[in-house]
Amino acid sequence: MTPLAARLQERRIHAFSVRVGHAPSDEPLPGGQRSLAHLRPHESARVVGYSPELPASHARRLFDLGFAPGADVYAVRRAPLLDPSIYRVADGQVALRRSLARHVLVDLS
Amino acid sequence: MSHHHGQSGARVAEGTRRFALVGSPNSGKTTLFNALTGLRAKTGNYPGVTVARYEGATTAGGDTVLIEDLPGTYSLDPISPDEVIVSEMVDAHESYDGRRPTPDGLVVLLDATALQRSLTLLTHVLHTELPTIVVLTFGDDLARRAGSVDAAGLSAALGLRVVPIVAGQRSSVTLLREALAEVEEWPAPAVLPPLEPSELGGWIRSVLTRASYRPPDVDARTQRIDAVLLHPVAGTAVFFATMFGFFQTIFTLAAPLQAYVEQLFGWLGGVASERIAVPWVADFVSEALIGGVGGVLVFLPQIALLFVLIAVLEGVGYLSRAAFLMDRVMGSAGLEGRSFVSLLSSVACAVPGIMATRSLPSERDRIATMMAAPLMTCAARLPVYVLLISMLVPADARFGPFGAQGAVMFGMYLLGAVSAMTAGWVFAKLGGRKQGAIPFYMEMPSYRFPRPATIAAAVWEACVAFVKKVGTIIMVTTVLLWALLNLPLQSDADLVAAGIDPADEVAVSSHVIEQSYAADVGRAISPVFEPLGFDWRINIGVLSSLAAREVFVATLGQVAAAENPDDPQAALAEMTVTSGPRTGEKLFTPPVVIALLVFFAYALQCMSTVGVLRRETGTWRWPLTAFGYLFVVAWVMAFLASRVAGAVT
Repeated sequence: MTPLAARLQERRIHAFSVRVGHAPSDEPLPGGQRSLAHLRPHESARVVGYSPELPASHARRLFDLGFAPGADVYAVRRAPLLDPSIYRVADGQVALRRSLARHVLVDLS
Repeated sequence: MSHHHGQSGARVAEGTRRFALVGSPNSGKTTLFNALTGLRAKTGNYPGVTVARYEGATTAGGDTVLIEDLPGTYSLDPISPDEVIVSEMVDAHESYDGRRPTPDGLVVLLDATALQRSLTLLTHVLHTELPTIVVLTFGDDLARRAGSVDAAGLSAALGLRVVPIVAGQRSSVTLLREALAEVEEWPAPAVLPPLEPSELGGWIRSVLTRASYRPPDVDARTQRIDAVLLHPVAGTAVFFATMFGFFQTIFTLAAPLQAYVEQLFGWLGGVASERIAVPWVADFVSEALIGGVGGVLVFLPQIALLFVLIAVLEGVGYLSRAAFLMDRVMGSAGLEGRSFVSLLSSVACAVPGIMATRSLPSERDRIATMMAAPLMTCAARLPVYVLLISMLVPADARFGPFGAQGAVMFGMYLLGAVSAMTAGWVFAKLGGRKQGAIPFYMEMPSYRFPRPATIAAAVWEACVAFVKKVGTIIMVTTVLLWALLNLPLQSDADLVAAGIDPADEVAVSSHVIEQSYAADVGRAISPVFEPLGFDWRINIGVLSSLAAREVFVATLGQVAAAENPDDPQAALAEMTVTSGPRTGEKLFTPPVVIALLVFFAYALQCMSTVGVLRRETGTWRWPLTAFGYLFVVAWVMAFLASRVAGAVT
């Protein structure tokens, strides 16, 4: 690993205490918390953090893709087979699978 | 190990400056690379990994400089082997035993329509503290979508030189060339941007403000097109229509072109054998040499067409949509949507199919798809299946409303597809355990008009790489198999002594095969194939099919022609076992034919596929793995199928 990659790996993106577990995606998480997977097409939300179950490397990649705490996300559409979904974030469109989206915790706006 | 200097790159003088292009996928990197290097790019592999390396020479201020197009990435915090390459290439703090010389400067592409995300990558790059210049792409797209950016303000905010580039505009590329010539004078930012996530947002906002950035409106054109192309009904219909057209093009349109190539080389071979007096030399030149070259070039129509289609679909932006639509289906096999195009192409031929795996961002998925692709029923299996099925099922047999022959053929296609998905699943699991799961994300780029120059470069590069790297392997195989099937030489005196009329070509060719080293090999390996019911004559056919599967039909025809030159097909059906406990019984019993069908469904009887696996993975490990695992599976499945068939009949 290069020194820069090591420094980038040390980045801590503030962890969130709400665990996603195996909660069904149509019900809110503990404390009424929602995730990106809860968003219906045409709904918007603001990213607040990631579930503690999400590997830290995945959280850092989502951050680098623009799914950063504070970012506004708009659910554009779902695939005909209902997964993955396209989200608009940081002026671009990115498709995420539900298995990843459910770890991105959001506030509905 | 350390003597791999520029193993894939151009040979250049010491001291030649090297620049690396860094940017996210869809940032216009490949277009810029082609504009700079034209058709002088070389591709290879990074040592030890299945990651393609693109490098090319260009001129800057009268000097030759090398440009390397690094794999697209959103971050220098790597999670895949491709991204590890980028990270190691650009981080100058460590030396990598000279195999990957650190570039003299980095060219970072910022997509003007996604500036916020592009700036995140730039912050990582700036921490390498290598000389860096910024290329601002898609300014025209930004303007179309009512956004704007002040390049001078961006330059001041970043403390870097910024070159706006409009695709297809020579003058802007000239500006970049001039800038490359004076890398010593590139400004560097006085203060490095923050890496800390909590500070990054503020830094990006301040840069965007100083650049008077007005973000683009939502791309209405893309939204309108997506509303149709990703619609549950309309989108699915368009998807299947596109894939049908795609498949038709590489299957149907390429076929006559391939026939022309074959005719041309058949004609050349004929001319050669007429002009050369010594029969065996004539035969060697016409069949092994000219036939071998033809055997390489016959793939080019398919490869060229496939890469035209892929380049167009990718350039337009549809490839990501197709992958989006198919992701869930492919996900059930542990693969992802982008593997679909590769597996579909493999129904025509695994060679272009395997080359198409380059569009997959994760090495794990690339390997899993490559290991699965040879199982798809390729065009070369068709003549083999037609021959075997006709020996198994009478032409007038019905299976409900369908002809039984067609139903069996459909079953073979289904067997191929199901086996490919299973193999993909297994190799994805094995690869995942080693590498850890990579999260799936895929950018949906705006629809754009593809640039003809980019398409031409992609097609040219694929064809050149194929001829150079795979051509050798096909040539060697062809020559080797010719030698096995034709040596030792039979003089006219030998033939007369064996009771063969030297003027009777059919009898001569059968006799030559029976006395050949291939026949010795066929007999020597008979213990291996004995349990499947194959005799030494079938073994010769299996051996010769390594050059190309359809050769099996011709070889068996030659063997059978000895017994009944007027109707080899009937002779095959009547052929009897000549030795062992089954002596006198029919050779091609239903269990044997079924075993052959199943064997050909699985076995990697194609040295061209082996060659392209070597070329695409950069190591012998994967072609050998594929050949080995497919042979074992083929043998076991053929054995089981013949036992089941034997029990039923």
